[in-house]
Amino acid sequence: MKTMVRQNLVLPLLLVGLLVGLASAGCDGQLDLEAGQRATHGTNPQTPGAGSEGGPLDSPEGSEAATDPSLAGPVGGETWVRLNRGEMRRSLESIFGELGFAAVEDYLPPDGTVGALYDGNTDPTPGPIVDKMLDLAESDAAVIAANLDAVAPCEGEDVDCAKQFVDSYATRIFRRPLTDDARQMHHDFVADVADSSGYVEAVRLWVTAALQSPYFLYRVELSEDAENGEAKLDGWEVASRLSFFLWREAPDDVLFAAAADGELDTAEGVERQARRMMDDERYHRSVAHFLRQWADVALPEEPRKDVTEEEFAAIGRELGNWFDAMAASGELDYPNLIAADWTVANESLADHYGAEHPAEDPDEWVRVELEERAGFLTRSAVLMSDTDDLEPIFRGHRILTNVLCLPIGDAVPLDAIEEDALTVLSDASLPMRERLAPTETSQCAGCHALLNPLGYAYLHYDTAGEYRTEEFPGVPIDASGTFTAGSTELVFEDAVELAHLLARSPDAHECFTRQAFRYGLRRDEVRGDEASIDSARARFTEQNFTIDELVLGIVTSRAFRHVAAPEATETN
Amino acid sequence: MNDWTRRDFLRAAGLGAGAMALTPFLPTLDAAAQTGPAGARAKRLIVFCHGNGSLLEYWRPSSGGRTDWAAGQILAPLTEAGPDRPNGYRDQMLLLDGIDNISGYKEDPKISGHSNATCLWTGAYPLPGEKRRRKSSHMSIETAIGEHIAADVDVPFPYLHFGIGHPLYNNLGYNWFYRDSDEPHYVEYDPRAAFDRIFAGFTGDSATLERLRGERKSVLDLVRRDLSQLRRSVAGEQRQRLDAHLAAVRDLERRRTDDSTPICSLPATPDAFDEDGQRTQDVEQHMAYIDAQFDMMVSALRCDLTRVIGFNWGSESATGSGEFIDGYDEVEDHCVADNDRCARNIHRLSHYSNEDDVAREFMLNLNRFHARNLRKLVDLLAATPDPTGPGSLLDDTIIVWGTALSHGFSHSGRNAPHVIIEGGADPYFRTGEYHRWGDYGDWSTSFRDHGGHKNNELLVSLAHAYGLNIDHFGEPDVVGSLDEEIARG
Repeated sequence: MKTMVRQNLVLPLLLVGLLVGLASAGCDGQLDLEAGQRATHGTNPQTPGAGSEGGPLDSPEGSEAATDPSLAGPVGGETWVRLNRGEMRRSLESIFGELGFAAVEDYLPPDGTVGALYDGNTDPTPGPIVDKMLDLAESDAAVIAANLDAVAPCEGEDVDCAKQFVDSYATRIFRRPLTDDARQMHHDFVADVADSSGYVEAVRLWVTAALQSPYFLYRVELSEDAENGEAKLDGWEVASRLSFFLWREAPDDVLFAAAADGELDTAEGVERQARRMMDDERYHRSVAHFLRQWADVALPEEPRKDVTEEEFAAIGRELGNWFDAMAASGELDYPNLIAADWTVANESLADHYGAEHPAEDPDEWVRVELEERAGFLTRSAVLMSDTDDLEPIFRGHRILTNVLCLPIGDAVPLDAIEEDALTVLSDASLPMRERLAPTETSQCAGCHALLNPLGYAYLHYDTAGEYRTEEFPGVPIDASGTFTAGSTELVFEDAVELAHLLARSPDAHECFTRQAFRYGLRRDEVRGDEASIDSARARFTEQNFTIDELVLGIVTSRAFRHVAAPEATETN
Repeated sequence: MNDWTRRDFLRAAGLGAGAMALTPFLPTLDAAAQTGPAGARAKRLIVFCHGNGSLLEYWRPSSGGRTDWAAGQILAPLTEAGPDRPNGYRDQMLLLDGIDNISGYKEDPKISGHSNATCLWTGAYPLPGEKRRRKSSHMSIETAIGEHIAADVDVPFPYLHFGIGHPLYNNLGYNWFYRDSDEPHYVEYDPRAAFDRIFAGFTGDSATLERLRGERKSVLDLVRRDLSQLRRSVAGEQRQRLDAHLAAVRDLERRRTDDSTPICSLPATPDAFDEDGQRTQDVEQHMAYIDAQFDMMVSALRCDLTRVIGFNWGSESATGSGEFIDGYDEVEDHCVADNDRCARNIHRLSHYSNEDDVAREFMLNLNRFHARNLRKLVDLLAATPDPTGPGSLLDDTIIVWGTALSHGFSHSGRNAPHVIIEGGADPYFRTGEYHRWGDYGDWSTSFRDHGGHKNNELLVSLAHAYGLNIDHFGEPDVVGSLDEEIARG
């Protein structure tokens, strides 16, 4: 049994995905940024273009977009994302209030992903889920029926009141006004049920049906008023886009009133409403959600190394609290995100960071100055989000793909890796740079020449997020490096310097804009979106890189307010 | 009120046979007349699996060869003597030693060894994606067989999926069963939820049921009209999605409101095992949970509501503890001494199960636990009459038990052991035999070709048992079956 020990360690290691022996298309030699290969988010070059007309972007980068004729073409098409579980529940509660609805997780299975940044569903709705939706709708409708006094728009318990109920709630549930025909259909339904079973039953059954309606479940966009292959979204559709982006739930009454008044037909009106919505906790939650998705924050199930349960719990809460603090002090901007030398912490977290906690109450979250750390990428929640070994590869990968939007190829197949190289890679007694050396001299070198220097910058932080000066006793850490790709060159001593370079990098600014765009529109970009991304980037750049301005740049862009014209509709 | 029989129902409903058209239970089909697809040799399928691999040393027979094998420690619970069964199910078992799970031969360091779970029943390479969240690119075999059977036999559910969700088997995102590429099946972990879904509408009195049916019909009718109206105003992809949704709603309407569901004696309403219930540390409670899930599965077959069941013990890479496994106390003690090695974490234990005595013993006991419970399920099937003909549910049923890895410590998909159990007088497979291919060692961690067969070939043979005539399943370039070696003529 002795001989299996080495393989015993190596092979599981490799198979759980630790070794991204990247070679092939994306990294075959140097990246050519001039050719502008921008990656879709994540590692997967096949990430679908989310129902787009033009397919994933494969042409020059944004700054040339406005003038480059090859970027002409309509903005991306609608995707009709099916609401995710959280959106369904939050939307219902925003319409009827928190009446004690059942946990939607008890009914519906986990959501898929839309693009790489958002939970949602673009697949056909399969049978078992339709089954569960009926159960969920029955449960929710029963709760509403039991609270009818609180939510009914009228007191008379008769057919007319049932119709009024429909008129009061249809727009909020369907996120657009009913057509005359549809209104008649829904009125007939409640009238029938009210006749036979009474008012409460009429409302209960109508809600049961309404919550299974495609208008509730899908992000329906029907605008057909096309010009040059694009249709302008109507106010209702813009309201939905705004609300799901900024609040992750259905629009409120104010937004629908703006839609009805035509306010959302202009960029100025959209901006006015967006600014109103930004002054709301729901907006901050959405920004935090986006940032977590962008940075791929996924804590391990259990704390690692010396991290205590208390520290681990605090690490889990840090980012949200820190975003809130930045927003409260008007500092929620890209340079701070990437390079701020402060966070907010309770005493446990401050201990974890080796920082002082300037408050009497150990549970109080206060501003804490950090040494040896800069920004988001050096926070333990991010540093712990990767595997427990060979972590520089994943840390480098995060920066390359998520922060710089550079493409990356697939891994080298396991059987194509030399035994000798596997031996070195799996030897945990070696310093990380020595362990990963084989990736820099082999077929893997094309990608690892890019990944490794970025990953080594974080060698000062172990996989529990703790700062260290030595990898092993007597082996000091060298976190310095040079990253070169196309015209981009980053030379740094450590992660703190790298953070400051990234904070100033136009490539990183453009990538961040792109990621926010993908998140906001719940799809990957197409060629025709480039001008919109570029205008958002310009606003972001000119307005001190604040997240708010970036969001405003996106929601006022052409792509946000237009959609590729649908294919000619057959009548049937 | 829980154990309804046809007679009970009729009495409660106050209806004679002539009035049965009004009842929700009217069997429009004579279950016994449902024969199944042409060429089918088996009627029912249960696919059974667990995570973190096996231990070949103990899975393999302790002695003997192809026909005179004697079960090793892991499979012994299946061959222990029982009433009228001196050798347990030994003669109904076919042991397959040398089946390579697909990622064992299509290596990719970016996929976790545990993504093998997505390949086991699909024969297909997983889609690219996040580590731990990779999904299969292909439907799994029980889906294909279930749909094939449902094309000829009117069953409300072409397939059902159950699982055990104790933290020992917790779900990290690996799915075993797929409806299609990137579409994992919904798996029922709570027997009460399963009961509500499968036996929906069976628990009230007839008037309540009648009213519920009427309500659902009118609600779903409005949903359908909404969908149809929207469908008319769109084209292309969105129209296709609405078509699919509409078809699903129509199907739902038929299942939930029409009266074709065959009558049968209903199982007792099980206790709910919600997330807390599934997490119980109480051994007795956990065994009650397993029994309840088995009861739902057997009842669904007994009522001919489905012919195909997928069952998984939680997920691949399960990281829970396992209080109910023999040897847990030693593991506890061991954890104190060497926390890194286990920390009450079965996944980590599996990693050390070749070099650490306590971990090995625990994994052996875990595998035996699965075998013992499978034995319990098989006993239930053998004791339950077949609603579609003479004999028991076990007759004409094929159970296939597989795991995605040979060993937890290697995470190799090479030589993932499989057992087929098939009852009846005329089995499709060469039951009673032990087949071994290649030279994969008892403690091997190798990923190299050792002369085994690909799991796709087994899946194709399985399909053939149901008259589903395909020459490949999953990866299109892997063609062929194991029929010549493991099927009877």
